[in-house]
Amino acid sequence: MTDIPALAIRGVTHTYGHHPGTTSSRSPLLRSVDLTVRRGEVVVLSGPSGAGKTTLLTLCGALRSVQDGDVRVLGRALRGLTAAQQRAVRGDIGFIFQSHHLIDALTAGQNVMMALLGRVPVAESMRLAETALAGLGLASRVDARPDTLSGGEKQRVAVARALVRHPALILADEPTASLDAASAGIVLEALRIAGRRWGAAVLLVTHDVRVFEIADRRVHLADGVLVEAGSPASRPRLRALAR
Amino acid sequence: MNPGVPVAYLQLTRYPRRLVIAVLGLAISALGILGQMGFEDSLFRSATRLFEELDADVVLVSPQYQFMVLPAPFSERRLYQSLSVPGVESFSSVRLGVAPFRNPVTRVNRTVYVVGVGRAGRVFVNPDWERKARALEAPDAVAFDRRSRPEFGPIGDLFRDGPVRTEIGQHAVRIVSVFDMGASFSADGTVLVNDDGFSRLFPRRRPGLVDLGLIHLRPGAEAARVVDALRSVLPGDVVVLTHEALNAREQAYWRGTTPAGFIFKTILIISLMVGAVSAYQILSSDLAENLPQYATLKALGYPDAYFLRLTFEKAWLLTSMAYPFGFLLALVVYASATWLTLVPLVMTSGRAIGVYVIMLTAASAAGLLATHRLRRADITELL
Repeated sequence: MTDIPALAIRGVTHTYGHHPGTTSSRSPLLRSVDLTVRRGEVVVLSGPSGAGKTTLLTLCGALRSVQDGDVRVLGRALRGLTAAQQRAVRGDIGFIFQSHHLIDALTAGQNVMMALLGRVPVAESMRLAETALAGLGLASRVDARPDTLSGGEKQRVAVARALVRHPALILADEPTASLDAASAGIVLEALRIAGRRWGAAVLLVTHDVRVFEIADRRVHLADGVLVEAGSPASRPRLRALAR
Repeated sequence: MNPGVPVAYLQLTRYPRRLVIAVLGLAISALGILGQMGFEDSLFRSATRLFEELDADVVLVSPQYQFMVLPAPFSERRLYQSLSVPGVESFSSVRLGVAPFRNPVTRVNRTVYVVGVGRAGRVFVNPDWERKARALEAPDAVAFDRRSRPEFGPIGDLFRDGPVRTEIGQHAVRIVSVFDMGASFSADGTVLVNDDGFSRLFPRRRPGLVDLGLIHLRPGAEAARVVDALRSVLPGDVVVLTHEALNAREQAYWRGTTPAGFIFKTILIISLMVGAVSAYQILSSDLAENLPQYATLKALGYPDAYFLRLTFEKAWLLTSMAYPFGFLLALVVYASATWLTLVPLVMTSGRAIGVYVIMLTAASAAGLLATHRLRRADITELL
């Protein structure tokens, strides 16, 4: 395992409505955010709604251009990348969103195969998809279409899609928000295994305290500032969140 | 970037009702385009069939000549004058008119196209027509196109028992031979008569006037050079054209001057629009419903080109599903129209392939338009 962190954020400031080369009078959503997530580490990012958690996640995922500061994924700086370069970076990232966004015309297995982007032969991609689904307790649902799956099963398929190509970095936005305890447990276990088995770094945005159990570290974002959970600045908010 | 999943096919077949409607729309579009092209081609081909069979390198017509059913005569002397031009070998003439033809069975009149064949030289390339035209010796002898519309009577059947007697323009005539040309949009039926017969049927026509002058060139003579020479020699009361130019002018009349050309163009545009709109509706609905899913795929690294290709695949699949139905329907329409109108509508492989390509292009354009929204979308807003 390399010493280069999977994700390194230094001094990231982000303002909505900001255009490069201009000064904006709006207050920034993110202010000089620093964060490092190492390979195999699971970091939970919490904070109130509208604090900028999802924005930070999309910056880390090369889904949004970095305005100020430095974001590096596996050592590669994201600032100033072209759309094609951003796309290449995203190839090393597994995304899990709040909504599963499965294609309803495809089976669970086919939805997972879509993540393999033709990187492996078709037969191999089928095998990998089946393995990924089995790891999330969906071995018998490979050929099921999304409209025949429960909400929890759909989200697990989405997680399988994110994990099937063994990404070095997994970015998850409220992955357990709509899940029952059993499904949430399966998803969290899968994320923990990803960290352990192939050293995936996991950055999880969540309000769900169940997720804290698998976290190696917790960080808290409020008023645009990121602080380590457990630090004096974050305690009142975390206590409130835990209640 | 092929993940080995036939996404386009699976998405199209996911909602069968929507697919059926789109396929129907495209099939109707194909039918409309093929039907329009068939009718248009038939109209123009049948309109010039007689002229294409004329044996002439160069043709003289009056400046007032508009098209075959509305000719304008000019003096036959111009044809004799043409013999002075180097390269001209011989000439012949044709006189044209329309007159009521009495159905020998029902006694009902119907307008027939009368072609007066000059005696001076060859008139038709078609050997059967030429032989029968030459055999018309008596002024009351006519050759009848047995592929004329049935309203003229069962001439072909009656002729098996010998010459058929009837009237043209209240003049008694004998049908002494039959030939095969076919009805056209401009003439329901055609008869051939000789010069004397034409004068007998149209007594008010001044002798010495013809409608078409057919000039035959010597072997090796250049038509363009002879046309130039004829134009310099002949006065302005005749127009000198090559045979090809006459055919082109006749077709141009039908395409440009008559409402038929405009109607055909309108049908073509409407049919294409029906196809494009049908394709656009299903493709844009699919995109609108799957925007978050496609945004997720973009987050996974799929480029815009993938979605464009996916949409093109769907457009091509739709067209390929619909086209055979439209094509078969068009064949039925062609056969029915040929049977009803006796104007042959022929499906050519060039047209079959050409229309398929046109429809693929239209559906692809619709797909390109449909993907615009996805290309413009901010994926972070969709996730």
